Amino acid sequence: MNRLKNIFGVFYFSLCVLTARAQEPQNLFDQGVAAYAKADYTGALNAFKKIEGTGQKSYALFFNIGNVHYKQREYGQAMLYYQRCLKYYSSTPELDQNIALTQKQFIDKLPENPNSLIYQSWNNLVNALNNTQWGVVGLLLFGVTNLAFWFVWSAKHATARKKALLWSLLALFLCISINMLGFIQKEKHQSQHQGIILSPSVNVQSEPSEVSAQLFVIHEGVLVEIKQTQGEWLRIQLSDGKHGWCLKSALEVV
Amino acid sequence: MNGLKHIIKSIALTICFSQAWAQPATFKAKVSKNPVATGERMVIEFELGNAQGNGFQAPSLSDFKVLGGPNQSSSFQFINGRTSSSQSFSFVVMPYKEGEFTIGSASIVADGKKMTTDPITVKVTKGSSVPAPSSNSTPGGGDVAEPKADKASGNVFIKLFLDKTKVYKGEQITATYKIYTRASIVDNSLEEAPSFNGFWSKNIDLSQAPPLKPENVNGMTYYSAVIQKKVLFPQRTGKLKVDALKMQVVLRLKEQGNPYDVFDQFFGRYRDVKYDIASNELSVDVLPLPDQGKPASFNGAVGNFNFSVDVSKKKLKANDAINLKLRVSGQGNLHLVDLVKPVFPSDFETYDPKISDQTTLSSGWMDGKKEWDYLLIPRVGGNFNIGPFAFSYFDPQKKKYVEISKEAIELEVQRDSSQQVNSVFSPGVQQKDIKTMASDVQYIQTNASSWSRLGEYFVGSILYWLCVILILGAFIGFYFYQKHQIELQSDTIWLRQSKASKVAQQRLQKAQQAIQQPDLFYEELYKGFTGYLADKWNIDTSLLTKEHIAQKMQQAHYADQYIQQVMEHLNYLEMVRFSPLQNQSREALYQQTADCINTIEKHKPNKA
Repeated sequence: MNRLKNIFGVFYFSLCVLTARAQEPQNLFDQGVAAYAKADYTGALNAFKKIEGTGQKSYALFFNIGNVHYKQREYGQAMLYYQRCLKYYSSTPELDQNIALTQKQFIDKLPENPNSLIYQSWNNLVNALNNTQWGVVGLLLFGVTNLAFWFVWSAKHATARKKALLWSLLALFLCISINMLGFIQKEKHQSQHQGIILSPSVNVQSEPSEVSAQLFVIHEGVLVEIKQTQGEWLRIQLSDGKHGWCLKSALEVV
Repeated sequence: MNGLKHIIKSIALTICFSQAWAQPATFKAKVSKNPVATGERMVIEFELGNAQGNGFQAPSLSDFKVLGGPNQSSSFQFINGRTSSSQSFSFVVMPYKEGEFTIGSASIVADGKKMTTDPITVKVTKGSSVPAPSSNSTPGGGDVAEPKADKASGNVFIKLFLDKTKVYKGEQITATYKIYTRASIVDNSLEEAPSFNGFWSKNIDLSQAPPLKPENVNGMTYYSAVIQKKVLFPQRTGKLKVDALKMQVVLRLKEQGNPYDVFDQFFGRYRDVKYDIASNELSVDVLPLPDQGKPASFNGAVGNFNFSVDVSKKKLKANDAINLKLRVSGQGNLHLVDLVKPVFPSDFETYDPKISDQTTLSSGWMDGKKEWDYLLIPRVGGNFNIGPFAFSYFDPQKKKYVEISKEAIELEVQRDSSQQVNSVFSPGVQQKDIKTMASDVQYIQTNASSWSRLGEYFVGSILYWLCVILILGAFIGFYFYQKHQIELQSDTIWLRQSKASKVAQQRLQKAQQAIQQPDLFYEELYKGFTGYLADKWNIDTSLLTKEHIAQKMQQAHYADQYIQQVMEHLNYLEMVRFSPLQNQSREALYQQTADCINTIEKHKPNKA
């Protein structure tokens, strides 16, 4: 009897912790939104950053932090958070518009990646559901696949068996795709291969050392691919294909 | 060609200069008048001839009142092939005491050597009396020390009057400078006009020479006249100073004459005396306008105003021009009054307003009207509203804001029929792109629906894999269970079969034992089979008939063929019991009976 009580207690406690966890960012978030509405951008940023500090993430949070930075004319930071939105969530018209607007504030004009439309569609697909949703749907489909194969095994007549086999193959395909998407999303979210330049001006060198030849100069706001890391140096590639080495401190990983 | 000319010229000039250097340099001092009377002006000049000098040092001129200087001039002469250049420094001075004074040596450095002038002795005779300059006046500095006003205050002074000393910002103050004199003024000149820092000021024109009016001041009779009248509008808050007005006047004073002089006795003896006089200064406390109750349309107007709105016509055709006239009239800082620009419909073409203001100061108050004339051209037809309009001002007397608002003007604009119809779809309207006023980021997200933690993933987590294993395990388990069930089902058929043969064996045990004794064998075989059937359907042995058995088997849903088989076998057993046939072996008959029992056991319908 005592043991049952204990178990119940632990369950209740964890429930409380979970709801408290969910409650706190919501309060802070509302505070931030209210501060933003009053054009108190420092206050809004504090509230949003506090939520970010607790390790919580949400599309709205990243979007709003980006907006606050934009309002404070910190366009590099704004771009960083908009890109984080794109990394973790599928894009929206508002986000696209804000990114386009922020892009105009930067010095460097880089060609649009020709594959960006395909990439964006793929990104939207991968981020269409969150990881838990992908997982749950994947597991359900796994169950359905198993069930379908059981029907194949147990069917008495050849026609029914054929039908069941068709369905089971379809279910198997879907199950693999959905679970794969879940794994791809996890991989994408954990990857650190994109960065936004935050320093006003960055020298890009031919080798990971100060004395090497200076290839070109990029400025705040440029989205770069991080190809390789060596000590304090990163090998970066721009969307137009140029690449070189720059210091880690010049950028922040999206 | 021109260039060549220039070169020749410059060469010629150089030659001239080099010739000039040949002349010996001179440095002399001279005065314009000697002797000189007090109160007269005199010029002291130091002249450097045939040289260019620097580092001029003037002698001390403390015995004179310095009115101006040092004024520097230089000249260059070229006469009959001879050149002469000179440089001079001059002072304008006025002696103020009698006697003989010596002007000391001035020095200058020319051609690398120091040159000095000889001292000059000046004799000063008695003239008009001049007050001594104050001791701190620096000779050669050019500043003229003011004569002490109080010295003359007995005879003449200027006084500043303000109608108010505590006002709101933008409220009118009138400053009046009045001169008071006991003697007649022969001449006057304004020395220094007040600057009115922090005020917007305007002179009130005094029509003609102001009449002198007798006025009693401190028991003495003076003649007073207004010399300057200004309206002031303070532009800043705080303590503002109204500056003094400085004047030089020449008074004709009656002198104690010689009583024996007939001329003096008749006309008196007069003396003209110059006085430098200055008025007093006053300060004004300027209060800021109260924030409380300030209307949105307030734009700095202080005073007492009226506001009107006029439109030239209310019904018009598109592309016709109309005039909108906004008028503010009244008393106050009209020149500073500005209106909030009314909002016009975007389909109207508007121009900057023509602003005209007419103000007068005749009453001593800033008075008049200011008009804003807008030209509007509606480009499309329709009903439009212009306005509403509002104008507000601060009334310093009532110490509160007054807002005058006028209702919006409704305009009925008819379509311009003269405009050509370009196409079926657009009735003569030029299509325009929507203008973008400004660009800004989209508004923030106000709802955050799904929170998740960074770095936490369900896919690939232990729980995920556990679920996979669980699902897979569940189905494998189910598969095996099902398989086992099927196996079990097939097992019951076998069991029943084995059980049936067992029953047959048991029933026919006695017959098998008596297989060597034909009579007993047939008897036991028949008994065993009928006993089995009776037990099977729970029939009393006495009631055991073939019909009854067939009926029971039918009730038990046995197939007809089995009923047939059982009936035939029963008939056969009955027959061999009484007339044993030798052609069939007893073993075969036993086997046939056992088969029959097996058939009944095996083919027991499920519904039974």
